[in-house]
Formats: sequence, structure tokens, C-alpha cells
Amino acid sequence: MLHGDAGLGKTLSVNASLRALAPADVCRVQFRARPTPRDIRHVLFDALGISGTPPTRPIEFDALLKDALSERFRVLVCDEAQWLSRECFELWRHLWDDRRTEIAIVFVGGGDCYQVLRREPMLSSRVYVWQEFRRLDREQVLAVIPAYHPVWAGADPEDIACADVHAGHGNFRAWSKITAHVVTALARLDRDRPDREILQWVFSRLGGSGG
Amino acid sequence: MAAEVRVLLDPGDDMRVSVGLLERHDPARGRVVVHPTPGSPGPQAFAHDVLGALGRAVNRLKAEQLVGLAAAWRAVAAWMVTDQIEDLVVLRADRLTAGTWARVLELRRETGSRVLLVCHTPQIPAHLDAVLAGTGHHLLTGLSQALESCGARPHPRLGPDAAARPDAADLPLFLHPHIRNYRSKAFAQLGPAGFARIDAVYRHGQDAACRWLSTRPASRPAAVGHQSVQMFLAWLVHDSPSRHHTLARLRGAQAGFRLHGLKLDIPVLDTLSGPGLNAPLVTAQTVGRIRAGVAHPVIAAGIAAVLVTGVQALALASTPWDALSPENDTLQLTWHPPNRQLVPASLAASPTPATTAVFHVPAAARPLLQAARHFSRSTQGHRAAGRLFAATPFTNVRIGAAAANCKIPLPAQQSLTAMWQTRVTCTRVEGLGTRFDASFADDQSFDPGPLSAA
Repeated sequence: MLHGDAGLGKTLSVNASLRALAPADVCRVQFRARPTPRDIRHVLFDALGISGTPPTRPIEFDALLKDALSERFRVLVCDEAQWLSRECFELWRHLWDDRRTEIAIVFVGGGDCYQVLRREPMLSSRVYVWQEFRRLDREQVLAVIPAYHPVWAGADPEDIACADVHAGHGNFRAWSKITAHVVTALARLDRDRPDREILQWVFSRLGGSGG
Repeated sequence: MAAEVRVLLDPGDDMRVSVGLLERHDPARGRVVVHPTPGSPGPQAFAHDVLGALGRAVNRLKAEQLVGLAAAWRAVAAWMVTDQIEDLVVLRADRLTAGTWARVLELRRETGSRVLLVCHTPQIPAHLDAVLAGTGHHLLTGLSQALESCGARPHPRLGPDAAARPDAADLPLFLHPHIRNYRSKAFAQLGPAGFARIDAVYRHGQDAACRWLSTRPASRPAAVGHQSVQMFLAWLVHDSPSRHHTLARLRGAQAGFRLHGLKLDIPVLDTLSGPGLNAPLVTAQTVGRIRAGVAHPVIAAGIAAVLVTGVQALALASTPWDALSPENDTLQLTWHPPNRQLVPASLAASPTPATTAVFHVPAAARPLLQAARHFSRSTQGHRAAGRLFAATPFTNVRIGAAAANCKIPLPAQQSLTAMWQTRVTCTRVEGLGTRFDASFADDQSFDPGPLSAA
């Protein structure tokens, strides 16, 4: 179970890790807001590449999914898990508890996902790791960002700290946007490293505060 | 007295409780753990869940008309009684409706199974607790308690009759029709090795006939009843691996009857059909495929009956209950030829008599017929002289489709009148089998000397 605010790199981390650990065994599922168990069954039916027409009766549907999930080991990645209702978790639990299925489920969720999942007693004894993603603190930003992209390698730490205060906020998704704009600006101005002038321009593009 | 009801509380919804109980799911040992389909708490869906837990094909519910509430619960009861399920464990019971709980308790009364309802809550929800009134239920608070009181009978072992012997070595073809010199002719025609193989099968038939006749109650009756002879012969050849084996067993049986002063006439089998000729062997493996590919007890029994008898499903549709012996080991089918007459009865020839054929039901197939009987008898308003396959979509097409789903080819469907056992006759003949029956006596004592093993 991976949880944390949006943009902290949960999905990216899961995808990168699973690409390295189990590239052929991953099945990713993502839902619209407030999915129903029926939505989950249909999404899994498609994601597992089951041929034919989806059954109409839940018991038949679940039997079919269990058959498919017992063929070989699979990692099911369920993103945006904060949208799942109790009935949806019941379905995941049902598939996981089944003796024949060979699955690991990775729930990834933002917002109040942790609170939502913690409310479900069924998950407390079944979730192996509760992994929280937090914002990078200033020290981490200064250590990580120069390694993140070459444009930051030679940047003044004061400038990196300034960018984090005004736009990055320790959030990786925000930092990827800043970086993309910095790359553009450096190319236009034919410079090799960001400075305050470039950052001001980036902030204006991002709608962040200057300073 | 109704069986015990227990409720296990699992307030933490602990994985070890669900998984621990699911690991003990073993229908063959009389224990079924039902893991209800999420979001389907009603009695109809739960009946389907039980069928699924029993190993029945839930993808056949619509095709076999088991979608309805009443039919589904009758099927559940029929299978549970037949499969001798002693323990029914229901996970996620707190999420089921009160109506479902009431049905489960009714099922417990009908089948005598103990029930364990697992509530993953600190206490039994009030609306469900009300359903338990008067059951004297026991409250359990730990998995170990539940497992201690959750017995299981030993694994059933296949009896000698339960698995047929399809792998027996083939026999040489030997069509000699006369019993009086069968053995000596076999030696002359087949040589020592062929004789040894034929004679072993012949002796098997002869010994079986002598054993059977020695258990007959009446001493030296004029003849043995036609249907009881059919019953014996059908049993003798039901697991015969080939036509040649069937013929040799029957010749042996003829010899056994002759030793008891009875002339057993077997028709020429070339153009006939029936047990041991073209009926497929109904093994435990076949029955396992039926159980896994069918949901409806009557459809399952229908496939088994078509395999055992070789007649088409439609011809079995009106089979009465009493056609099946109480032990489910014999099926007796009768065909009444149409006797509609366009001329006055006084001028018409006497009507053609009915044809009755008796079939041995292998041990593996008997539970299927028992389940069908239970299902048909549980029909609302059933009659004492009802039909075995009543209130069921029992047509050639449906049975054929269900068999295809089990990947079981059905035999070429024959008329009852083409069954060889219907043409068998048995009469007492003075002097037969005695020392005055000289050529037969000589043949019985025929000794070819030491034989090399076949």
C-alpha cells in the first residue's frame, strides 16, 4: 500500500520498481472516480486479456477472474485507491484470499487513502507494507535535485532552495515541471545553468510567486 | 435433531481466519467452505456460491435453469446430501442478508450438516442474531476453537467397483457360439497363448455366475427371473474393456449357468448394442468431469444415465423413480410400443409386449443418480410415483450440450430394443450340467497341459 499526496512519485516509483522486479507479471488497473465492483471486474477482464464476452453474473465473473489469476503469478497495481468503496475492497480481498489465485496487489492512492484503507479491518492483517510518500524536505531537495537532472548539477544551492520555496514545495511532479521550463529557458537564452532571472521566468510560467 | 449451529466472531477480520478456514475446504471429506461473492448477499446468489464451493459449474446456471431461487436451493440440498457434506462453513456471513441466514438454517435441517457462520465483526449483527433464535447456537471466538470442532471424515477410497479397468490387455477374437466345447475349440483355434488369455476371462465369467447363482434364494426353480438374469449379466460386463472380453465373460457365464442346470441363451451380439459392447466405461474420472462441468443434479444424472444405458436422453425423460433401485446400482428401463389401433380390439393382433432392459450403474455414477432423485423428490407437490428426471429441461439437446461442456462424448444413441440383454433367455433343462451332459463335462475338464503365460 503506497499512499501520499499527489505528485510525490508514488506511481512513478511503483512502475519503475516493478519494471525492474517483475516486468512480465504486472497488470495495472485504474478507475474513474468511485468505481463499483462491476467496474473492477470489467477493468480486470480487459487488463488480463481474457477473451470472449464478460459474464453477466458476478459469481461467473469472479470464477473467470480467479481462473485467469491462478494461471501464473501476477502483480495487480490498483492506482487511485482512495476512490474505492468498501465493496470494492471486498472484491480485491475476495480475489486475494482465494486459494487458487497467485497475486500480489499494490494499492496506490493519494489524498485520504491511508485513512480510507485503515478504516477497513480486512486490510490491516492483509497489507504487508504501508508505505507513506512525503514531500522532500529542504535538505533532501538539495541532495536529490542536482542528481535528478543535469541542468541542476551546477546550480547554486541557494537557487535550488529558492525554486523549492516558490514552486517545488518538495513535490517531485512540481520539480519535473520546473525542470522542463528551465531546460526551455536555458536553450532560448543559450545559458548552461539556471539563475534567479531564469527562475523568475519559470515561476511566471507556473503561476508561482516571484521573489 | 437438527445439526449444530456455530458462529465464529472475527472482529479484526484477520486474514488467518479466512485463509485458515479456506485451507480446510475439502468437499471429498465432507467439509465445504463458502466464500460468498462480494456484493451479492441475497439467498439466490448465496445458493450459487454454495454450488460453486461444491465444485459445480457456475457458468451453467442459466443454461441448466438453476438461476431461480427455489431450484438453486433444491440443487444445493441434493448435492450436499449426496456428497455427504457434514460441515458447511460460511465466510463473510455478517455481510449476508437475514433471508440468506434463514435459508442456511433450513438447509442444515434438510441435510443434517453442521453450520459455522463466520462474522468478521465484534458481535453478531442484530438483524442476523434474530434469525438464530431457537437454534441453540454456540458462539466461538477463536479460529482454533472453530478448527477443533470442525471434523472431517477420512478421504474416500475407491472401491474395486469404483474404477473400471480400461487398460486390460485386448483379447483375440473368438466367436465360437457353443458352450459344450468352447474351451477345447479355443485351444484348437488360438493355440496355448491365446487360449490362456481367453480362458482366464471365461473363468472369471463362470465363477461370477456360480457365485451369483449360489446366492439365489429358491432352490432349483424352473428358471431364474429374466430381469434378475439381465441384472447379473449387465453387472458382469459393465466394466468389460472390449467386445471380445464381453463375449468371453458371457460364454463363461453360460457355462456357470449350465453347471446349475440352466440354459442361458445369449443373442448374436454382432448387430446389437448395450453393456460391454458400445457403452463407454463410466469411471470415477468421467464422473469427476460431469461434476465439474454441470450444476444441475438432474442434468448430471442424465449424462450418466445416457452413458450407462446408451439410449438417448429423451427416452429417459419419463423414467419413474422406481426404475432406479434403492441402492442406485440398477436402472431398469421399459419401452412400451405404441398400441393405438385403428381396428376393434377383438380383430387386432395382440399388442406388442413392453421391452425391459436392465443396466448396472457403476459405483462412481450412483451419487449422480441419487442427487437427481433427491432433487426430483424435493419438487413442490411431487407425486409418489413421480419421474426421476422431473421438472427439468431434459432434452437431447440440453443433455448433449451439458455433456459437451464436460468434454464427454455421448454414445451413438440406440433403441432399447437393440440392447442385447433384453433378448437373453434362461430356462431350466433337465440333465444339463450333469454327468449326462457329456461333451460339456469333457470341455470343462479339458486340460491343455502346462501353458506358457499369455
